[in-house]
Parts: sequence; structure tokens; C-alpha cells
Amino acid sequence: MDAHHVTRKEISLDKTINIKQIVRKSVLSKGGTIIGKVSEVRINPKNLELEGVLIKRDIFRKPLYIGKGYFSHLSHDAIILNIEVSLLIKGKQVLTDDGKILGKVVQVLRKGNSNELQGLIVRSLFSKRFTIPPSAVKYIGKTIILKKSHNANKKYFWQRSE
Amino acid sequence: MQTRNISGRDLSKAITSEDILGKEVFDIDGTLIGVVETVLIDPESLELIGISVDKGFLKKGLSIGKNYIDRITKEAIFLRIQVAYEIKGKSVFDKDGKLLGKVSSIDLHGHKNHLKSIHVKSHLFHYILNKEIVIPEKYIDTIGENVILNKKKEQIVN
Repeated sequence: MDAHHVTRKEISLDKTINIKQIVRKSVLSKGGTIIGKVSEVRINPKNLELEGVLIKRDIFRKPLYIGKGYFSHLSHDAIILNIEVSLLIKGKQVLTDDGKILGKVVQVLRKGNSNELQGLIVRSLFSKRFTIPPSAVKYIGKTIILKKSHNANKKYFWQRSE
Repeated sequence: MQTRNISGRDLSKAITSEDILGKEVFDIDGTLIGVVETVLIDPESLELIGISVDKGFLKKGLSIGKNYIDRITKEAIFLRIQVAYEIKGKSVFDKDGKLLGKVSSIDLHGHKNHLKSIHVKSHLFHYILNKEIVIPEKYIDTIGENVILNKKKEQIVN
């Protein structure tokens, strides 16, 4: 675009990104999961830098605000993150190392508002809720596979808690 | 049932085809591939060479060599690989996150689980005209829920 430039140390216009064009573009996780679409771009009023984006998901799910620290690549087509969003683990099936189904993740515990996992609360149809620490998780993919060392005996609701 | 043993070795820890058939097969990232349909045995050496997996209604079965099997447990069979065929149907995005289309087919190096290239069709129009983009494996950055490339669309298409 032909325009007069009035800048000091800032990068030139052609190297910047038009925020208007980012809105309604997809946000992808590191592995390509479509998180949702950008609904707002938030800017720090003090240093005027981009701070994060608000992501609109489907009508049943709360919007997600993701800070720029988790951005890997920003373009006019999409935002690609450098993480798999830990909140999206909710609903995934949890298996022991030998393939026994323990249940589904009903809640994801995080360190503050960060993406770092603190624990997973799991339950199945007849079991009580139990917490799995991140150290017990071997792999998070389509399902969650636990390490062999983890003794994840689920307790059914008719069993007494000790 | 008690049986007599004339194999010359202790078979108490051996597993049988009954222990394998019908078991669920998971790949390295916990994706359910299907259930074991048959156990494949070399007719000359009489050794187990792999398993064939039933992937479900209307889906082609898959034969998996024993080298790709990580462990056989009481509940399931775990692979040490991400099955290359599972990439089919995934969306493909370029480096900027621009959607290129979906993986319609793949090329492998021989019968190994090594991807050579993926064929991407962008929309219904391309499906009808049988038009596709062939992307070599070296342009793939990440394979997860979908596929992200390490090049821009313009660098691949031209």
C-alpha cells in the first residue's frame, strides 16, 4: 500500500500485519488442531504491544484467551501456536500402560492461567473422581496413556475412601 | 485344561493367538487403529511376522509387521509408530496456516511405514476433476490432529 511513513525505529509498513485481517481467522495448535477463530485482538495499553487474542469456539464452549507467549507464527491466514492447549485434554480417554480404560478427563488442573498441567481429574461411569499427576502421563495424543509405574486404581462409588 | 508339553522349553509365559485376536491396537500416540483380525505366521520359519487389523466397517484392513509392535498387554496391543495411513483425511495447512485441503492418499517407501509423499485435494471441485497437489514428506513440519507444512502454499504449488 502506498502511504507516507512517519516512523522512528519501527519496522516498515509492509512488514507489519493488519489486525483487521486476523479477526475471524483460524487459530491452530502446534499439531494442527483447530482451536477456533480469532474474535478479538488485545493490545497492552501501556506499551501498545499485542498481548493476546480472544478465540471464539462453538456456542457451547467458553471463549479462550491465549497470550502471545504461546504464539509460534502469525500471518494473515492464521495464528499457529507453539503448544497443544492443555484445556482441550478435557474429554479424552485415559488408558493405563497396558491399555485398560480408566475413564475420561473431566477437569484439567493448570498452574495458574498458564498452559502447564498440574493434574488431570478423571472419572468413569461408576468410579469416583481421581487425580492423575502430570508425572504419571506418558503420552497425550488422541487418548492419554499413563506410565507403567503409575498405580491408577480407580475407586468405584460404592467403595469407601480411606 | 491341562496339557502336556513336548516343546523343549517353558511355555508358561508364552501367549497364544487367543490372547491376540480381537484385541484393540493403539499407535504410539494412543490412536485406536482397530482390532486384531488375524495373526500372520511365516510358513517357512513358523515365526510370527505380524498382525492384520480390522479398522472397521467400510475401511480397508491393515497389516502390521511385528517390528512395529511395541508390546502386547492383557488389554491391548501398542505400536511403536504413528501409522502413516492415519494421515489420510487430515487437513493440511501451509506454514502460514492457510488451508490447502485434505490428504486423499499417500505414497510410502515400499511396504514400510515411511511416508514418501502425501496427495492433497483442496475441495469438491478438485475431487471431481481428480486434481491434487503432491507434497513430499520433507515439506511436512508436524503431524498431529492435522498436518502443518514448513513451506508456504506458493512455494509448494509452483
